[in-house]
Amino acid sequence: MIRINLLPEDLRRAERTSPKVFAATVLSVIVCCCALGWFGYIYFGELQELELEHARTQEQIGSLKERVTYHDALQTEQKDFEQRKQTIQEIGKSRVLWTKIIDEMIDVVNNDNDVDRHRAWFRSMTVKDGKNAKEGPSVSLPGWVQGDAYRAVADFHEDVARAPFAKNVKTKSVPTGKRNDDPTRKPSESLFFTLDLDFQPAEKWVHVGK
Amino acid sequence: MRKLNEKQKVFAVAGGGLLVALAAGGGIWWSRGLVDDVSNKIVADKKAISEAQAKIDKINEIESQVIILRENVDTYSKILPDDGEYNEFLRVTHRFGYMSGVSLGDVQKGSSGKRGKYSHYSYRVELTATLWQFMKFINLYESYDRFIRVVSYSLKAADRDDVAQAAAKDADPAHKISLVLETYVYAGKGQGKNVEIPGYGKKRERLEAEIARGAQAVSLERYDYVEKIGRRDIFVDPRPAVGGSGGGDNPRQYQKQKIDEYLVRVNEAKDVFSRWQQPDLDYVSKETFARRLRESLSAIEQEAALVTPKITTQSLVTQWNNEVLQPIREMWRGLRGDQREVQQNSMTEERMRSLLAEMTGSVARGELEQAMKIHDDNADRLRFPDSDPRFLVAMEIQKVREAIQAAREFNDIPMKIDGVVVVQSGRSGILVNGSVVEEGEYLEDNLLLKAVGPEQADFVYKGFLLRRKW
Repeated sequence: MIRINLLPEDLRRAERTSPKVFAATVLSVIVCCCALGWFGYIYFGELQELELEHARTQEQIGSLKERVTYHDALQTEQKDFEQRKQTIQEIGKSRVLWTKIIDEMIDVVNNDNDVDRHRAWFRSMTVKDGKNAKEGPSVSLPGWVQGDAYRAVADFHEDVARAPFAKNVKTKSVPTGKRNDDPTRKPSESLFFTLDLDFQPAEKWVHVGK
Repeated sequence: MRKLNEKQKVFAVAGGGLLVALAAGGGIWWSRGLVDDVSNKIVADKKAISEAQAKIDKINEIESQVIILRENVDTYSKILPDDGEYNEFLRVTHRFGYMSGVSLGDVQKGSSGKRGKYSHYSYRVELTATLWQFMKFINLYESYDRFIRVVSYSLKAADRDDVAQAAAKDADPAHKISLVLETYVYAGKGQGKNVEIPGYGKKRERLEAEIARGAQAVSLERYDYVEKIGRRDIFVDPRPAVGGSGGGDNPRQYQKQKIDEYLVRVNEAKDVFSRWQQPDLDYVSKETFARRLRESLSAIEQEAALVTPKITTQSLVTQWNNEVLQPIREMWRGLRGDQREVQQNSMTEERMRSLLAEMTGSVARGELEQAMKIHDDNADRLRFPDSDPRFLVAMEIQKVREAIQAAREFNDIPMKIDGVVVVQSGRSGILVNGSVVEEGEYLEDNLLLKAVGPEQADFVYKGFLLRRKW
């Protein structure tokens, strides 16, 4: 049904927004306000606060940077010196004190002048360094013991095995003897043998006093 | 323009609202992205800060370590120098050759290479030396501050003719030796690029103990070779030649060493002998020296008897007889002659006991000077060997004399006693020379306060109990 308002215009009742439009408008405004408010909260609140905190942490990093650089430089220097020290220690351990070994060998050979047990002497001495890190130095001593008693060769080898340096010997040659005769000497008999000693690598040596 | 109906208005309003809400949502999404970015940056910064803080916390420790290492760099440099010292190596070899007495032959450059930041190089050295010279030579390298390693060597014993020639000269034979020596040179960072550590001097002072320990950690093992004279050369046939002289196990060096040892002992005995002969010596000192001399001469004589057969080299036999055996005999003669003289002048035991009674009587009366005079007047007649029965009486007289001497010295010690506290159940004390001294305490090194009474204090001075009254 069509309804017509015949009242003059000034007497007509003002046209009112329909409740649906009003409700839609209110709802829209609420939604918009919430959305904009949320955005504002995040952008101007949370984000700004984080920006400020970030600025503070950056400033803190800046203030620590000098000390950190100092630390890093110190650490680099420390590593360099440590490496140098370690290499010196490694190189130092690779040294064999041959004076000590020969000194001990002379004591064994002299045997406090007990010539009854053995009286030995050598033709030469050859010392070679190990071919690689797993091999220690080797010593070769061809020599003689006085007399024709094979017991003396065994006694001498036994005394060598008891010497302080023997703790670092990996393998030692077995005692042998080849009869020798020199009519220009008293006694003329002697037994020739070769004493071969293969030592442990110097880094593994057990150091026994001075 | 056509008016919108209600439905259209509702759509328009809702649509507008939705658009604005969508725009705001987009803004929220964008802002959230920014928040996440900044949050991540903050997390990264905080991590960086904590790492930085951890580093900063370690600065003191690293500083200390760097100072210790840096202060020890001189030690490292001594062991393995950081500049090429090839010339120095040759100089050292020359010096060691001279010091040990070896005859240096060719010195040639050997192989070289690298190990970490170190370059190594080697030399082959040819030389002729006795075994003992060779030992000294390599020991000089082994005890040198700088690291030098004997890599390998070969020794070829002197032949029979060389040994005979050396023996004719009373010398040890020289062997032919070839050895390879190796050393290293530091090729890393040099000094001068070090970090500047604030307050370095004070920090270094605090770390002195650790610095010293650090130096020990890199110190090289050494062996101090001391030549033991008397051992035979292990590269010489010790058997005597048929028809030749023996003594392979008693070489000239051994005989010389024995003579030197005995000369030291004889000279010590001579020193005691000359002190014993001093005319102004008191009785106890003279007897003490005489006893020491007798013991010393007896020991030397007994042991020398075992050495005499081993001194076979003619020139050394003469020295042994003239400088060792002869002085011993002369000193014995001196001692025995003195004893005979003493026996002629000495007094009887009865007279000695009477003298002792006179002295103790004078001491009891407080006449110290009189007691001392009695002793001094008879001192020359109170000397007896310890085997004489009168020796014990003479010792008693001497003890009284020492007590008198101690009492005289004690009387001369300035002691101003201003107060005394006698405690029955505890330690009493005196106020002496302005200080409080309790029983059991020392006033001086030799003066102990033993006991305090109301009218006297007992002291121990040089082993004697002495009393002071007030």
